[in-house]
Amino acid sequence: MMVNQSEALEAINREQVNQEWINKSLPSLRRKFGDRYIVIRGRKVIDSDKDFEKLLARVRRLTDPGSVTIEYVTALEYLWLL
Amino acid sequence: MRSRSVLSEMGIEVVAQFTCPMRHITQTYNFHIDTGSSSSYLGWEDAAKAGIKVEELPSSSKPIFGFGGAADVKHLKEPGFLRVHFEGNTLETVELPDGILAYRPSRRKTTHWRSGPSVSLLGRDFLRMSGWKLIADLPRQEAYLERP
Repeated sequence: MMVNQSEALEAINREQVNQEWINKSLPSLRRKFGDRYIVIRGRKVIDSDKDFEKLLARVRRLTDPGSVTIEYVTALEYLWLL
Repeated sequence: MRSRSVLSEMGIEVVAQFTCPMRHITQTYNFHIDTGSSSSYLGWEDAAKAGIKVEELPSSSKPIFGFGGAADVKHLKEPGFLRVHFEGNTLETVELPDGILAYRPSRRKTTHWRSGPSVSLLGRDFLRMSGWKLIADLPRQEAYLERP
């Protein structure tokens, strides 16, 4: 189901804010959560786990699972090759 | 009209909302723009977030060749849409009539080479179908999609 325009804009803006915050906070996120998946809501880490599926199961129990960003944080800074 | 991208250590990123009406999926993802990739892909973690069981999807009809090692590639064949935020709070929609591919990286490990979590990619098919230009001005730390 396609959501309406204002809901879509809100979801996109929320994800973008979280992604920008992750990029800015990477050094400290690496120290605290290196090699783990983290869950971000409103520029705060609200949960983390090494196992994505366990973390996703907990995210699904949140009141608004669509409002969070899940990201993997590497402990080391890698060179990336997509 | 422009849509601002984010420059991260992994590259040029665009947040877009993926919709697949036939599967009742609406999920917002952070995509990496990859001009080296002929096709667009959902990473398996992103697919799982939307409740897609990647292992149950049919395999891609074409084999995949890449520098990043082997990947198990499946095809979400139902048509989908990607909505991208442009200046002036406008949303532009790109139709994906053949759906989107989904992949899971190989679990093989080697020294100095680590297969990381999957990332969702917008490849050259997306740039062609959208009709948008990708402008990357890395010395100024700027990148954006430009709609004619």
